[in-house]
Amino acid sequence: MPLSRRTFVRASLVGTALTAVASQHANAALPRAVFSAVSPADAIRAALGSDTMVSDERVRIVVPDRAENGDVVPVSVDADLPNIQRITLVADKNPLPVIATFSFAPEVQGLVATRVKLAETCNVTAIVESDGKLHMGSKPVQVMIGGCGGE
Amino acid sequence: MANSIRIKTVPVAGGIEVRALINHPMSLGQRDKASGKFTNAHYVEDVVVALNGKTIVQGDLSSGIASNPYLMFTVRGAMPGDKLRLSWKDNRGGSDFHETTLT
Repeated sequence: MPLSRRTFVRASLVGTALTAVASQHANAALPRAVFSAVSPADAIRAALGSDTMVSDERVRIVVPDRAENGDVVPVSVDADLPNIQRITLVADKNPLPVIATFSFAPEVQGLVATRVKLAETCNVTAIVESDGKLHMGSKPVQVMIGGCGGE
Repeated sequence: MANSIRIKTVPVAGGIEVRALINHPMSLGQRDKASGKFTNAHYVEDVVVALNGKTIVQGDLSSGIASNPYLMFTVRGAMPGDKLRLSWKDNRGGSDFHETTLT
């Protein structure tokens, strides 16, 4: 898929925002509070502690362009990066934006697939921690019928 | 609890692909319109996968994972005969595990 100007601009904006909010936190075991944070910025700050996060095209995130049903959206993340320690999935428009974090031993390849709920059309972002640095990949998904409603 | 976990392993180049499925509602609960908070949620919050007793994948999940969580990953260098164990815990104290031997 050629990178349209709109996609590019959106990705850069998200990248800038995430870089801006990445904080100086020390890395620790993930507290459950991460998952109750309501704003994507708070959530990411709580989940990941680092000063630098770069948008990196080596982080490939595979999600459908259009999801008919937001209750079940397959997502896979493949990162061509060495020593992947952690992959975090974030949907910026979900009521609770941080979906999951997976930590890996060195034996596990940097490819993980799961299924998530998306409340509405949004960007799905994967943040991959490799050699202590955060790399980010993001992809917009158009959601027809939102999951995560609960209203 | 009846076994809630199904694991399928597929040999791939350089290792073994693990596909795991957990039967669980992963319910968000009800959302209070005034506060926007969810109550009564029920979801798996911790998944641990171990190979021969060593943790290789640890997942912190939330109710943002679809019901009946599916997880796929590839383990390099896994051999037939290795023991793979997956366990989960949910936010209401429920838990289950399943161990399988790679073939």
